[in-house]
Amino acid sequence: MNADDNMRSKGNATEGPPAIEVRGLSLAIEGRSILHDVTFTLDRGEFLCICGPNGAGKTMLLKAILGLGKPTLGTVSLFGLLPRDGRKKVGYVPQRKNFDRMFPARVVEVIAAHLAGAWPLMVSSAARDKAAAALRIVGGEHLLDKELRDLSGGELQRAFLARALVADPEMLVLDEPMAGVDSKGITDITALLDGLAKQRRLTVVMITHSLSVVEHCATKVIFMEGGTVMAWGNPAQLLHDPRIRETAFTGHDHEHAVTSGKGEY
Amino acid sequence: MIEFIGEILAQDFMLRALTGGALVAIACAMLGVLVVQRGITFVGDGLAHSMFGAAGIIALINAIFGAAVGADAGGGAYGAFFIWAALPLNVLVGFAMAWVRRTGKLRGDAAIGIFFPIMFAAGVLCLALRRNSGAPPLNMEALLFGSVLGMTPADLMITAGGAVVIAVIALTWGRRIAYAAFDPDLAAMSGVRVALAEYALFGLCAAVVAFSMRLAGVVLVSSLLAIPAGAASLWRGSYGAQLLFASLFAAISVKVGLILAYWIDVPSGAMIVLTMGALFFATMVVRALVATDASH
Repeated sequence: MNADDNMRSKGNATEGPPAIEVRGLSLAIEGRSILHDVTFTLDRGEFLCICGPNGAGKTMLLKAILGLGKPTLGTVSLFGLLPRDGRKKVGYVPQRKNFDRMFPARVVEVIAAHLAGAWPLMVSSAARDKAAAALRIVGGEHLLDKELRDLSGGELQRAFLARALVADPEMLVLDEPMAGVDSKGITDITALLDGLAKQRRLTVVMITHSLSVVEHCATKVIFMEGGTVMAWGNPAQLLHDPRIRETAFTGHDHEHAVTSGKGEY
Repeated sequence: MIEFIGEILAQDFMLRALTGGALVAIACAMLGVLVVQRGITFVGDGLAHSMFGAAGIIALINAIFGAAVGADAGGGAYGAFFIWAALPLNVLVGFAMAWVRRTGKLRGDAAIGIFFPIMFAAGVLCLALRRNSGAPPLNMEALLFGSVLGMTPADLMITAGGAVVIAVIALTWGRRIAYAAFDPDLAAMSGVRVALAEYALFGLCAAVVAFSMRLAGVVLVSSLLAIPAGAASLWRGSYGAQLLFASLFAAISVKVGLILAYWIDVPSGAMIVLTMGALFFATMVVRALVATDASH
């Protein structure tokens, strides 16, 4: 059974093309292979966790799916569309917040910019209301008028999550959303994502090193290593493998890191 | 003093300089905010010096194919021809900088630093070839240092028209460039064509530098992009507020600088830049005082 069959057989298939279809995807940067022959299909409504050690190619896989990295081989479709068209239905929370820290950006402007597709000179009251509503969902109403450079790691995650949610996406793509968040924040965000996925039937794709998040939320898991998919399937199947448990969940799982002493924290 | 201001406003050439100068300085300031946020402040210098090269190339073409004319390149009614003819060439150089920067994955100002000397050298070479061909000599002083007081009504129309168009683009489509400057990946996810935004920024800078030649010349024009935007970035305010501050800063600097230049009888381009410099440091002092006040 290949990755395709496996995902389809267990998925909650709904009408229309699958949320993600990746076929034979390879990607190299300056001659260095980052992704090699990745193939999988994800149905709508699934909660996919992508796991694996650092340097496995997880972030580049997400970027290639979203059309932010150009494949050297293979194809990607999002909701049956090219990534640059399909990503309009996606809310994205990047891993490293690479935004320019000196840029004069308030949270409300970051969210309004996503709605308008351009940086606002002034935020309209309609955009402000939508931003406030999105922040309310993530418990961050108080952040509305704060400057990004003044926010803590957890507050930034909430702000970017609100930005991802504001345009009513059909899919959320999150790259290590728990990184830099304290344990209370991890619990809150996990519960929030789980709730959103179930209530709104959102498709969620998330890179995580958190075993508890995978156990709690995931309906599908991909384990990556060396730029390729080493294993895929239901959490129960994959989490049974001690090697996967050992290599994929030693990084940012706060709870696990504290108890095992192997983590980065 | 009132009599003196009245005397200035009675002079047509001063009115043209004050109007055209302020408009072009505002357009520069708006693009300058984008350029400073994008971390490529050097682009102003690079594209200003490439204007020298572009004007040199036009001067050589003029000597080979046209009825060669001798003039102050960039100065006087006839010399302005070299600026307007060099403008599209400079825009192409801007696109080339953006292309090398993107495809060569060069960091920061590296691509600009590559084109800066190449184009300046091309200008020197073309002017030498023109001289060798026996064409009448071309005085480059007006192009190097500006000649805003020599602006003709036709120059004013072109300069003001160009400045207004660029300012309107900066306020509308330029907001996508600003978003890409904030975070290219997030901007792309919101529908911004990031590569196009980068080319547009370089092209607009090349054009605004050409329109500013009369005001400040090759050597001083980068100050119009860098100093007002730098002063605006000293304050914590929204992007829109920074555009407004930089625009006001630029317009005031040009008017004060021009009036002082006329009063003291010194070159206007240098006086405008020194006025901007003085206002910049005054802004720094005020900013520091406000910060000290707030901390108590």
